[in-house]
Amino acid sequence: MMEFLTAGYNGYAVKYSPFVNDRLAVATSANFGLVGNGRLYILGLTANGIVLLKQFDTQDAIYDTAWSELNENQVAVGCGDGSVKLFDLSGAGNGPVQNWHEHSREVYATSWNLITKDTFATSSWDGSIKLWSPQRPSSILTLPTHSCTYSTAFSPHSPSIISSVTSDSHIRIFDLRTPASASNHLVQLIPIHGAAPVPGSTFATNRPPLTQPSECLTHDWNKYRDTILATGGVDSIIRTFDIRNPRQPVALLRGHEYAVRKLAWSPHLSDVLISGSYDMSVKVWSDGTAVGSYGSHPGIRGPRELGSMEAHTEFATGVDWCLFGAEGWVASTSWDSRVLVWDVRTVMAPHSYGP
Amino acid sequence: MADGMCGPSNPLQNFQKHSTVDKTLQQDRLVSRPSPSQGFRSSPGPNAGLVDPEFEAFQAGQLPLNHGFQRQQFPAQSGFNQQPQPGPSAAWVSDFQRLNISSPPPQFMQPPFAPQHAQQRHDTGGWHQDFARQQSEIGNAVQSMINMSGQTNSEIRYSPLSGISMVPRYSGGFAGQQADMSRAQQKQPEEAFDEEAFARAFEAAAQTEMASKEQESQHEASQQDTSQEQSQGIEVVQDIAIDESVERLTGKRPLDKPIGADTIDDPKLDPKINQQQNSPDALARTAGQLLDSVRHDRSIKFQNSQFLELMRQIRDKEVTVEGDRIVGTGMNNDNGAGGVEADGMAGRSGAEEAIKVAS
Repeated sequence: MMEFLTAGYNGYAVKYSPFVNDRLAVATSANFGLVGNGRLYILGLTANGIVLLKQFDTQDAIYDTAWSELNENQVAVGCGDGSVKLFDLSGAGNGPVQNWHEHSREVYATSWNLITKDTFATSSWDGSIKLWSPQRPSSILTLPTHSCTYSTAFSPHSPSIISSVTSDSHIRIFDLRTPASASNHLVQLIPIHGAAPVPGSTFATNRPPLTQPSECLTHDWNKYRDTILATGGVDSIIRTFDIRNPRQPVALLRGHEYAVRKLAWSPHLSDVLISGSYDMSVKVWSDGTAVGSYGSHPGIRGPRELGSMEAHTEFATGVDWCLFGAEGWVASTSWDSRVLVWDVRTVMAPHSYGP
Repeated sequence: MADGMCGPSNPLQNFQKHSTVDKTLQQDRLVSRPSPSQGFRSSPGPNAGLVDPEFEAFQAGQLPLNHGFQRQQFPAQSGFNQQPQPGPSAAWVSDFQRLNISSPPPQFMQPPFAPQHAQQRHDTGGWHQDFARQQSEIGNAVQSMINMSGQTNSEIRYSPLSGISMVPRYSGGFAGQQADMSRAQQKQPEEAFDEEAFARAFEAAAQTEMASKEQESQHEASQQDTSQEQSQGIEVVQDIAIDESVERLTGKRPLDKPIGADTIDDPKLDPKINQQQNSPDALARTAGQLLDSVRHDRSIKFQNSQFLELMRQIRDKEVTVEGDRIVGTGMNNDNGAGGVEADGMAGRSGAEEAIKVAS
């Protein structure tokens, strides 16, 4: 397990570069993000451990970061004062090359368009999602959600579909191809607080109760099945949804003891995802839909936890998978000011993966 | 409403009304609909003359529709999902296509996303504009929602029908009755055409049309639960959840009560809030609440947590937030680390986020 200490700053998000296989961006904030400034660390993974390549300081806390998909040197961050900044590693100075200040409250999420790669989205406590282009001085579009929007993401399968999860326990799917009528591109509003079907039951005899609405803090699209996304929030349950049948989750993953702060589907395996939580652990899960991968085991079927990493000593706030090389490597960051790079197979029981 | 239900050929009259309902997405305005005694049609539309002879023939039982009629959806809804209906459905579908009930002819087999607006458009003149005024703007997004969920649903339950029920939750009125018919229709695939349920649904809609929307969904839910053989309890209850969400689709919030971060007002909008909430007492109180919520946790990690230690210090007023720094007050437990000028209001929001640990 490789480790880097972001001394004095507490981690909020970590993202692998999509261009360079040994580069990480880490969004951090002083004083746990309560007050003070923020810092973006650019780290490199070497044979001798993790080294600092560059760092950028900001006036306010940084809550999320996203690498540009077009330019390997650019990275966007969302800050606590509502500003969105674009940094360039190849530039000389330590200041941003672009600074947009349109959100009125904390920016909690940044997500780059993975298909056309020319735009990115940010979501904020002010109840809006804004679309930006690196070249434009102002936002392209604002999508209202009317609720604190903790997470937003472009679908990895379409350049026009943006999803978000909010404090009011709903998933919103926006399709930018729809005409901009009063619905503001909103095509689906999915309540997260439904109940998953119990296998083997009929509706008549077994009605699991709806769960209570609770704030949803994170979500991610499955990288292989284009209608599946997972959400995690304050009720500690990770739910996977199929947007074609939004009435209820496909699966419920229970195991975290406190709220789920960040989750990410594996780019290598269609059924594996990883989550960081306020219970200070990072857990690896399978949603039970694949055979012959991490999810396969002769006796165990269905959605389940595959392993748990307990090395963090504060809330685990950022997780990301490595896109290159071996398929199990992940990076995680936490309020304990450490960035850990490790292989999920080290925390999984030996029989859980591969023949 | 009630006057339209008299007579032995009641279901067929209702069928006629089905075929003229507005299914467009251009439902941009919310206006209370005209009273039900006026009926569903405000004007016959350009195709009125064409339809009548075919309809007379249909009522006389001479159109080749009898075999499929009992179990099928109505043509106005045929645009919704065609792919999951194989076999005998195709026959009546083409039959209805031949009828001049609507123009342009409904476009079947549409791919779900892009042309969904095209297949909704029944531009048949006068009545269309009238209803365009009545439907809410919500219908637009909701119809798209229906298509997305309905196109790939191959269950007999015809989820688009229940999806349609989303529309009345916001617009009420005519669409509400339409949805009630739709809900009643859910039983059709399994059973013969149930006139009683139809009539019941109409009565229910007439009674509750002016009542609150909440009561309406509950009423129908209980009706559906007790009257259906195949209990679809989960689906109905989930419908209520979805319906209530959709009801406020463009409103402020889909929940009755905002939770979590939504309960905290923006300090920039109301300076008074800023004064109150940024006082050290409020901060200490918040820190105390957070510690209380994790007090039961005896794990080593939580005992040794630096963050919870900071919370303890804030609660005990050993440190406090001033501007953009954390400074010690009397004791020398200073955790200050930030020196850059920044907007100190971020402190409040961060602490509130931390409260989410064990909500």
